[in-house]
Amino acid sequence: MDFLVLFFLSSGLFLGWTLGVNNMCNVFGTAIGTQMLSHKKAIAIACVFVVLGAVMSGHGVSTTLSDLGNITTLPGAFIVALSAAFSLYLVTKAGAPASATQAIVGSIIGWSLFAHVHVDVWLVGRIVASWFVSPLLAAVFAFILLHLFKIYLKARPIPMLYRDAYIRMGLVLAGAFSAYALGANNIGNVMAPFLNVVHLPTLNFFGIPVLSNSQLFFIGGLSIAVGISMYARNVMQTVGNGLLKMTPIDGLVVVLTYGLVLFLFSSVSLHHFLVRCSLPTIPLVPLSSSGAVVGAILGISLFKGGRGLKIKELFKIMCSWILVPVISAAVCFLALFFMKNVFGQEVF
Amino acid sequence: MIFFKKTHEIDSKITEFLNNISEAGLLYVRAIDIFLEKGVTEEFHKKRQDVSALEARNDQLRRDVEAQLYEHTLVPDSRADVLQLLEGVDRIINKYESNLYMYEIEKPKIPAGFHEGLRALIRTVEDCVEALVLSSRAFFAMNGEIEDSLHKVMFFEKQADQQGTILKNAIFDDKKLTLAHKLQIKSFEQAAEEISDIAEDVADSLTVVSVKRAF
Repeated sequence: MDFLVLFFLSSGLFLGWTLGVNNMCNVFGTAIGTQMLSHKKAIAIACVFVVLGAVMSGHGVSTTLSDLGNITTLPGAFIVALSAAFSLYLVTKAGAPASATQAIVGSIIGWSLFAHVHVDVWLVGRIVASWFVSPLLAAVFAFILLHLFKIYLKARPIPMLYRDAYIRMGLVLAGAFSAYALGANNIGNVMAPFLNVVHLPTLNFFGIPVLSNSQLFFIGGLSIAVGISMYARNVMQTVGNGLLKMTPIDGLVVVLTYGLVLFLFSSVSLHHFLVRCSLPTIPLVPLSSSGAVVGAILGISLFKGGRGLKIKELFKIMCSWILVPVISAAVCFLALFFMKNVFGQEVF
Repeated sequence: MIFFKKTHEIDSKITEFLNNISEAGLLYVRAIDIFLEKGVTEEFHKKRQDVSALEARNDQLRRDVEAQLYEHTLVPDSRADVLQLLEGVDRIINKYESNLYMYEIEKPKIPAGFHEGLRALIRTVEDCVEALVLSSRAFFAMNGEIEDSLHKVMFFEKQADQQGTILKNAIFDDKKLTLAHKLQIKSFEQAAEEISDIAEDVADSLTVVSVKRAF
């Protein structure tokens, strides 16, 4: 790989790392917060499955995101990813779970404004709508799942120790599924700016041709995995038990809901299946993954009659959803200005 | 299944722990029957030794379960309740043992007129502990039957209190006994009653746990 390409790609990898640091809490925060899973086990599972999700199912959402802003130069893509990563890093440092999706969408809009490129308002609208719909959907899923769990356990009681073992097993499986869904849904945030400007030679992997985009997804997935292994413990605690005091069953419901919601908005196979059945399709858009988690926690809180929900923490998280894209767009606009005028690089 | 090996191991230990409490209760009743009939005989001594062996085994089981729950971070949301329950129930078997030691060492002369009252009290105490053992099993089984057996613990404890009061009155109304003798017999009555008091304390903690579970 050309050194210059690698250098410009580094901002995307930085974004992937930040995304991993920030999103590990969404995948396994509740499991670790409720002490049901050890840090090491959780990290190992998340790392493997996030890379698999990125490589195997990442193209659907990535296409949507690259359609939002068709970035045409490598320095431009570099700045877009760097601005998003920087904004995300700032919010993570403040101890709040932020979304890479909001950061990258903010950056791409910042780039479009700077480059005087038409912004697909309809697409932006669909993505923004997903940020609002996904928490609501997650709340509904969590509410229903918890209700089903309670009904089942009432009808067929499972002894305490075996219930604990089943929940652990469920957390491992649901965590793996969620990590896969995270890789599939959020790899676009990391690599979409580069898809139109980086063209790597096709590799041969045991007779299977690996195209440029798949290689980029693999590299991006690895950067997320590195971030996951260095996750932010303070964020993990905020989601784990900061919003709501949760039981291990609640933790399992959150992880399962998170995976389901992300999967619904990322699966190309599901999209094609719905088309074949002439059913309404779910748009393949990048979601705010922390939004899905917060929605799930809200659903659990509602199931329990709204008791114990820490509204202040919830408000803090919601504020970050608004702040991140704004900060990201502003940072991107300024950085593009410097890249163009100080370093003399073509950014569009 | 290999995945549940550790769970099965702890479950077996808890089951054995609770079985031992039940068994110690039966041995305790039998030992006091023997004492009232024949005094401190070899048979009584054997029963006391059996209770001591069960007590020692339960101490080991409790420590093992506590260590395993912490080591493998099992049942994190209920761990404190589990440990509190095991420690509470363990106090009962300790009390069975210490009571029998009292009979063995002091060899009290209990007049035949008090035998029936003491036997009835001992049986009620044993019923109370048995109800607590059932509550503890229901606590682990999470089958929603805990409230029923907890109610029985409270019932038997109250009955033991009443029987104890009747016995105490009878002891102190007796004209033939010296005060020292009366006080000695009362201490044996009280020692039995303390077992049902411990059972009631543990049942109270379990009631709080079952209320927490409802939420």
